[in-house]
This record gives sequence, structure tokens and C-alpha cells, in this order.
Amino acid sequence: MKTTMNNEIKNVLRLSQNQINLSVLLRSVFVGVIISCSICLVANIYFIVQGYAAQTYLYFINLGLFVLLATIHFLIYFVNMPKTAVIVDKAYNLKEGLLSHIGFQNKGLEAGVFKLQEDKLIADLSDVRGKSLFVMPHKNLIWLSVMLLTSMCLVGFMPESERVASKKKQEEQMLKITAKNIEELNKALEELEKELTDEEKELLKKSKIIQAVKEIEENKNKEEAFSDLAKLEQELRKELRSDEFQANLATLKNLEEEALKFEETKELGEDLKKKDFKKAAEDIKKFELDEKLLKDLQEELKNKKELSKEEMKELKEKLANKVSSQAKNMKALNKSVKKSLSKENANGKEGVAGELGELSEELSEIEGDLDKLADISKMERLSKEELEELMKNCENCQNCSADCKSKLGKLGKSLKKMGVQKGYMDKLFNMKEKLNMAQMAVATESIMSGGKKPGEGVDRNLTGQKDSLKDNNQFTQIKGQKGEGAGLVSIEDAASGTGVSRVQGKATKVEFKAQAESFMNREDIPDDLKGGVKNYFNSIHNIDDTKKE
Amino acid sequence: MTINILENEQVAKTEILKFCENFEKVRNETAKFIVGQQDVVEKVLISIICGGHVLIEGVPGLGKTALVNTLAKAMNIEFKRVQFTPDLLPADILGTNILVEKNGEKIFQFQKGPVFTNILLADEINRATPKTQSALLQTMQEKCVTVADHTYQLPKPFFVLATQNPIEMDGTYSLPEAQLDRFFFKLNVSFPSHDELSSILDRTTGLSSPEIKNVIHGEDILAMGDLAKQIPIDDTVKHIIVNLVRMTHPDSEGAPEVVKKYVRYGASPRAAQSILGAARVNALISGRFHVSKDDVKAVAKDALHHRILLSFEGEAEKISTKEIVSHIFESI
Repeated sequence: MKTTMNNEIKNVLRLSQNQINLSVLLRSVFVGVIISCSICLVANIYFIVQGYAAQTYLYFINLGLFVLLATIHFLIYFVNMPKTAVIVDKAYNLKEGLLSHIGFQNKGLEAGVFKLQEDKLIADLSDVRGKSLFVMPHKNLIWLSVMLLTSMCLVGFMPESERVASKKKQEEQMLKITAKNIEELNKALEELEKELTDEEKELLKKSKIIQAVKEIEENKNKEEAFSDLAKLEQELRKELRSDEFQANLATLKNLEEEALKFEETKELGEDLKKKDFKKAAEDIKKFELDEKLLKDLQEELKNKKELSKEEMKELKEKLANKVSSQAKNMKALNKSVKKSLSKENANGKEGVAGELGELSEELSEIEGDLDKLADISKMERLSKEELEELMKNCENCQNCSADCKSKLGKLGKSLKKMGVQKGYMDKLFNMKEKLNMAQMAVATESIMSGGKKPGEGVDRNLTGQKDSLKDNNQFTQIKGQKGEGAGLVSIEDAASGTGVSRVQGKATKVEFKAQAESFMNREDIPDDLKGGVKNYFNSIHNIDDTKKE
Repeated sequence: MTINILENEQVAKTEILKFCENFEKVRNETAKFIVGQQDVVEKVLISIICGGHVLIEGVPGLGKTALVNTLAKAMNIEFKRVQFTPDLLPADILGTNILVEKNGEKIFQFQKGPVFTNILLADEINRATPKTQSALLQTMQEKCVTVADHTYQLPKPFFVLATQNPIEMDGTYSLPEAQLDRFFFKLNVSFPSHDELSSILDRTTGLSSPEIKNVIHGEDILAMGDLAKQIPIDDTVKHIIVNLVRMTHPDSEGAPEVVKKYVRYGASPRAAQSILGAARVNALISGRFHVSKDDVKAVAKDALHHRILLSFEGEAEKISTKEIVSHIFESI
């Protein structure tokens, strides 16, 4: 059973609790100031040592930290009523009188000796009335907090070093460049979409590039954008390294080399060299057999048992002028195709190589018939059997011509497709270059431009340590593409053998030796010294020689 | 009849006032003859009020017998002294049946020993054999004597004040733990200071010695004991006593390192009872109506130190049990 506490005792307790808590609050303020200022000061001194000015944001962090620490301190040391009773007992030397009284009150004991105890307590408390339990924080605590606060304020006025200032300037410039590059990348992406033909757009849709581009556009975060750029770069590289495209390119390279050797196929070869696959597809059409010519020839020879002299002359002219020239063209093409195919194993290959193989078979077949037709032009007369043979050849040629035409058409289509792919690849490559520039610029923001920002870690360049290029598995390192054509660095062969020529070095050495000897042989140098110096150098050379051995 | 002080404020006030007056009277009366030794006198008085027994350790000639004699006179109670020697038998203390002739018949009659008194001074108790020492066990605890199937109640109040000489250990029998535990307090009588010794000379070597008056009676002592038992104690202070006794045991949780290292066995629950009883009287004589931590501290050392058994390490390093008690008190 709990009884009501005497008002006088209650008032003393409340007053004491307020006074003690006020003391705690004041102490919390100083403790908070000391801890938060110490942390802030250490952090700012660290930045100053690194060359930066004190960071303003640290002052705000300090303020927050101070409030937090002071609150925590206050909550830990906050006194409630029972705790106040213990403190009051101790402070006024009540010998646990107050604590015991509260204990008795809680048990409902208030009569007899308990009343006497209460009266004695009231009397004791009245003796100490007016005494305050408010305690000022220790003067050392106050001094320390004032000193730390002043130091922290003074540190705020310290300027940053010239080195850091210049690097910051560089950083700002780099940021501008970065923004520009990213803008250019976006522009390149827009242009790419505009420039692509429908076929190219179809190729683009199949790849994951569009998705990667969309992700970049959606991203606002620098780090994520950097990661996405790397992803996009990987996709582009994957597309550019398409196995089929590369294999076709290699086959066409062989064809180009062989085609350039023949007059008839030179145009095709040159177009292939220029990688103008669309024009090459047009060139291929020229090698189609003139079916009309063969048809006319067949019509003319039909129902004729023997040709007159005039008819023979006309036929010879036709064969010599048109058929033989077509046979020549086809032969040249067949040779080019065969030789190019001989450079690689085309059996079972798909793509352009397979198509060239099929074309070669057709060309070889048609080649014999055309040769026979061309041979007739050398004859004076044609017997009935020969005429029939000629008719047969014409028919065969016509039949083969259709197949050959379809194969040439197929090759033409492949070349057209290659042309489209090439255009697409060129555009992608162009975009990749811009992407690389953007990627570099984003990377240089944190690595190259004026070191790391305050609070982002140690700038190793400032501490004299070199940064090692680490692969963090997040960003792809940009590798150079092996280009075509002559390199920028050329090494001239020596007069004999291979390697770098050292003629100039040797000449200099001989000239230097002659100069040295002329100095040594001057009249004003004593003879014994001349010999001494020479011997000295000889001895050095001997030592060197022994070491070399 | 026990007077209840928990219900009526006025009665409580009167009784407590009377208690304090009586205590003060006895103390002042004793001080007429006993020079110095206020602490010992006070502790002996507390022990008598609480119905406990005291073991006083001190060299001969420090006034141990004079103290008991004076107290007995001041309290108007019977006092007997037994000099413990190796040939002393239990019957010499407790009494025995002797054959007597009564109305022409020969019968056994119980001849009471010196234990049948209010204050028994067991001088140099450690000189008697353990058999004789243990004869005091029942009388000290139960305050009665059993001889030949017949139990005789001892007069009230009954108080044993035993002394032992810490120097001469030849031919002595150390008191067994069980018997030591029965002593409420173990007090050390120190050698008097220069002024005190000078006063002793003045008071004892003259023609006349101070006259000790009877200031209270045996009943008053019993009433004082009953009153003291009603002095309230808060749970916080009670926990301090409990913890204090528990901490003397090396196996108890939270025992200080010094206890774990140097103590073989700690104090019994009887120690806690002694502390609380003594603290209550101490609170009253200090003018308080509740037991405080200071009261516990004032009596704990004397109530605990003879109840703590040191380990071999403690004995070897000559650790004082009083130091251990102080250490425990600081750790609470």
C-alpha cells in the first residue's frame, strides 16, 4: 500500500531533481562540444595537411554530432526521483534517510517509528534548505571546450594550398569537358538512329545496344552511368567482333587480293579494297552471262544444216567479240575465286566463303562450254555434227547461266548485306570512339582531375605514391583496336642485317676518339702524363672487357 | 511485555528516548572506571542489548575483566568469572549433580555452575580443552544448560564475554569455527594511549576508586533489545547487508578478487543477523529511526572478521580478515 509523500519532502525532491538535471544538461553541452569539436578538428586538420581548406560541411556535421552527443549524455545521466533521492541523501548526509523514507512510504508504513523517521527527515531537510544541488561543470571541462571551439573556428580560416587550388581548377575544366563529351555521346546516339537505314535498324534492334543506351539515358548517378557506359562499350565491341562478319571480311580480303591481279576483275577488287561492298555487288552482276546472246545464237542456228560463208563469218564475229570476252571475264573471276578459296579451307563453310565455293563450281562448269563456243571462231567451216555440238553447248550454257546467275545474285546479296553491316559497323565504331571519350572523361573526374575530393579517400598522388591501375571488375579498361595501314612508328633497317641502324652512333664515337687523341697529343702536356692518362683509360677498358667476359 | 513502537508515534518517541538515555547512562557510568576504549565499550553494550556474546582479544592487563565488572555493576546484573585452564572440565562451568542429604534422605541435587549468571567472563577461553569450550556452545546459543536429561534455563539477560591472549599460544586450543560463529562480535582491545594510561594510573592507584552505580536493570536491557528489533530498515540497506555477507564467500557471484584468492570459507547467515541487529542499535544511538549504510559499516567489521576463514595463501601472506571486509564493503 502506497501512501502520499509529505509535500515538503516532495518539493525538496523535485527542486533537487531539477537542479541536478540542469547541472547534467550543462555538463552535456560541454561534453558534446569537446567530443564533436575534437572529431571535427582532427578531420579538418587532416584535410589541411592534405592541402585542402577546412571543409564547411564538417561544421554542420559537427553541429549535428554535438546535439546528438549532448542528448545521449543527458539521457544517460538524467536523474529520476529514486536516483535524486540517493543523490540528495548523499549530498545532505541524510544517511539514506530519504531513500528509506521512500521505501517505507511505498510499503505504506507511516505510523509510529516511521512517523518519527519522517519528522526527522523533514527536520534534516529544513536544515539544508536553500542549499543548491546545481553544480557548475569543472573549470577544466569549460576551458577545454572553449579552446577546442576556438581552434575549430580558427582552422576554418586557413586557405587551401596552391597545388590543390590549381588542381581544383583543372578539375573544373575537366568537368566541363566531361559534360561536353557526354553531350556529344548523346548527339552521336541520336545521329546513329537517324543515319541508320531500315536494314541497319533491324541489326541494331537485334543487339542489346538500344537497351544499354536507354539505361544510360535513365541514369543520373555518375558511378552507375560509368558502369553503363562500360556495358554499352562491351555490347558494341561484341557486335564489332561478330565472327560471321569477320570471317566474311577475311574471305573478301582474299578475293580482293586475287581480283586485283586480273584486268577483268580489277574493278571488283578495287571496290572490295575500298570496302565498298554495295558497289562490289553491282560489279558482280557484270559477270552474268548474256543469255540473250546465247538465245539469239541458238535461234539462228536452229534448223540449219550447214552455214554459208557469210553466216559463218557473222557467227565467228559474234563468238569472237562477245562470247570469248564473257568467257575471259568468267575465267578471270573463277581464277580469283579459286585462288582466294585456296587460301582458306572453304569446305563446309557458311557465308561468303560457301557462296564463293558454289559459284566457283558453277563457273568451272560453264567455263568449258564457253571455251568450246569460243573455239568455233577459229574454224573455217562447221560440219553438221559440229553444228549440233554447238547447239548443245549453247543449251548447256543457257542452263548453266541460270544457275550461275542465281549464285552470282546470291553473292551480290551477301555483298550488299556486308555493305549494310559495314556501314552499321562504321557508325558503331564512330559511336564507340565517342563513348570512349565520354568514358575517359567520367573516369578522369575522380582519378586524373586534381586528385580525390575531400572525404573521398587519400589522394595518393599527393602523398607521393603512384596509383596502380586496378581492374575492379566493374569498368572495362579501354583497349586499342588494331587498325589497318602503316603504323606511326617506323624502324629503318640497318645496312646489313635486321634491327635498328647504329651507324650514326659509331661515327660519333670515332669522331670523339679522334678529338680525344688530338687533345692528348698536345705539346703542352707532359709525356709521362700523356701515357698515364692513356694507360688509365686502357686499364678501365680492360676491366670492362673482363667483366663482360 | 514487548512494547510496540510501530503503531503509536508518541510511544515510539518515549521508548526510543528511554533507550537512548539508558544506553548513555551505562556508557557514562562505565566511562567512570574504564578509560578510553569507547568503541569496545559501545560494541559490548550493543552486543549485550542484542543478546549476543563477545570475544575480546587483547594482551593481559588491558582492563577486560574491569570492563565486564563495571558493566555488570552499572546494569545491576550478576557477573561471574571463570579462568579457563587446560584441566577445567565442563561440569566446572555448567554445574553438576551432587549427593545431598535432605530430611534424612540422600538425593542428587543440581549444583549450578558459574554459567548461571547474567554476565559470564570466560577468561582466556582458548586455554581450555575443546571439550570444555564446546560445553559453552549450548549455553551461548540456546541460553540453557542440559545436565542428566534435565534442562535448566539461564537467567536473562545472559551474556558471555570471552577473552583470549593473542601472544601466548603455547598450550592453547584455538576456538573451533562453530564456536567462533556463536560470538556476536570479536573485538580487539588496543593498548591505551599516553593520556589514557596516565588517567588509568590516576584512577586505579589512589586510595579511592570510582564508585559505579546501578543505572539500569536487567529488564531494561531486555526491553532495549526488543525495541531495537523494531527499528525499520529499508530494502536497499538490507540488500547491502545481504550482499556484504554473500561476498565473503569465494564461490559467490561477483565476489571480489581478494576474497576469491584469500578466503577459504565465508561468513554464515548468523553474521547477517548480527550485523542487522547491531546496525539497528547503532542507528538508535546515532539518533536515527532507520538503519543506514553507515550503521552497517560501523558494525560489519567486528561482526564479520572472525567468521571468515582464510585460505592457505591468505594465511601465508598474513592477510587480515578486517582488510578483506573493508575491501568487500568498498566493492558494494
